[in-house]
Amino acid sequence: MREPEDIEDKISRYGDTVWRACLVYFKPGPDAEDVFQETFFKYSLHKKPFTSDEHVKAWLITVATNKCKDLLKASGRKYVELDQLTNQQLLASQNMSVSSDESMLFEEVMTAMRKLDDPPRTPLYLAAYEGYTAPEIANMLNAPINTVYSWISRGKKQLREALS
Amino acid sequence: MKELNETLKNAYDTVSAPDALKERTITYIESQRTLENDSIASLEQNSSSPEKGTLAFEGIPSPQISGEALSVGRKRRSRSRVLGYALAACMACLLAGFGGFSLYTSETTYIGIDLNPSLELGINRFDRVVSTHAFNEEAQEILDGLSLEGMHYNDALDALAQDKLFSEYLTVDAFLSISVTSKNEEQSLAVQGHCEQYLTSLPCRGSCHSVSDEIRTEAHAEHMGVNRYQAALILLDLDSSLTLEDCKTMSMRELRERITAAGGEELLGSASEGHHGQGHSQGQGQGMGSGNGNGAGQGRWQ
Repeated sequence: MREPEDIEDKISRYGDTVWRACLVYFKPGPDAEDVFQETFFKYSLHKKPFTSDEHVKAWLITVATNKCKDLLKASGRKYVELDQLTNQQLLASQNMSVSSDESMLFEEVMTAMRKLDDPPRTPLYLAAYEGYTAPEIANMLNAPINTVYSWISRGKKQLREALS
Repeated sequence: MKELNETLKNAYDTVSAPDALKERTITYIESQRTLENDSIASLEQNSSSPEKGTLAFEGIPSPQISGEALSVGRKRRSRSRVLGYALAACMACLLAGFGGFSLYTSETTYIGIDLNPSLELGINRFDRVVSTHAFNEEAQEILDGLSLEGMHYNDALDALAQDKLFSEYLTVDAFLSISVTSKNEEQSLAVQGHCEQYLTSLPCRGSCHSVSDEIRTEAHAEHMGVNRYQAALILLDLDSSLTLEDCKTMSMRELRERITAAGGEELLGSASEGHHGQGHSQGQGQGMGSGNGNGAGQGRWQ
């Protein structure tokens, strides 16, 4: 297993990134937390060296999104809406003082994203928020580049419709 | 896209992993490390004498087949049963006839051709053109003047090249993109090969690649040829000031030039500068050009 200092460093640097990736699929709660823990546990066991910090980040996001999808598939769900913290409760738990407008936007965007099919949900998140290019996303998701372009385009359209 | 990016940024930027979760994760991983160390130590202590039965497993009994289930009775054939068989045979012949017709008229492969005219040829398992479709006025005008259905696709492509209207677009600086969509891999490869050959006979540059049915369906939903649609998606990703409607009116050459100008040259694939790419791509398509490879991505980071 990787050294404790290494693991703590990665959780500190990429914990927020991984958590956000989990929230693309789940509301804050046990499922998202399980995936968060399992992702970094898997990192602790990963023996192959990484080529760069960007490589680590992309690896963590890929592992987290795959685990989220596996968990959803295992439970036969497309997205989760019930029995977990609401997005407002999440913001409150983080002691973040946000305006009510920001809170509403957060709720609206999170819900709209979770209702998208996947794909295009994951490619859209990776492109629109994390800033990955289509070739990079194709590499992460093991998908053809042109298919990724198609997913991103479709995702943008669906999200715009959901938010309008 | 910028506005959408901004919306997502504003929403997700407010999110951070709770400190308690980070601490619990560290504690969890360290507890796993302790367990692992303990089990290694335990194994080392007992390494000289493996426990009996640790590798044992139970055999699985063979399933018993009931003799009753295997018994078959003999029944006497009646005249009505013979008549029934005869009627069934007639129906089978009729259905085979209809089935054969359906087989002939069903497309198994689609050849998308985008230049400035955008059109598509649907070919059947016998390599005959059974349908044609135009995506813009220029293509419609060309197809109105030709009768391609029933032709072998090679002959149809030749007919296009020789057509007065179509050949006006085949200038030296033009770019002809051909896409092949098929569920029959053998036919797909053969068609791609022939299309590559076809491109070498034309004065313009070009490329040929395979495209998934999913992308073809999306392109059609936007009333666009597949190649134009794919190029448009690349360009829109690079230049968010444009819209899909803008791209619909551009020629393939213009789309490619704009992609290059926006810094996306490497996304155009390996279409050769002189004439016509060699070889063909398999799978879902690789960029916008032709080349060898399986077009299936680079593998997972796991």
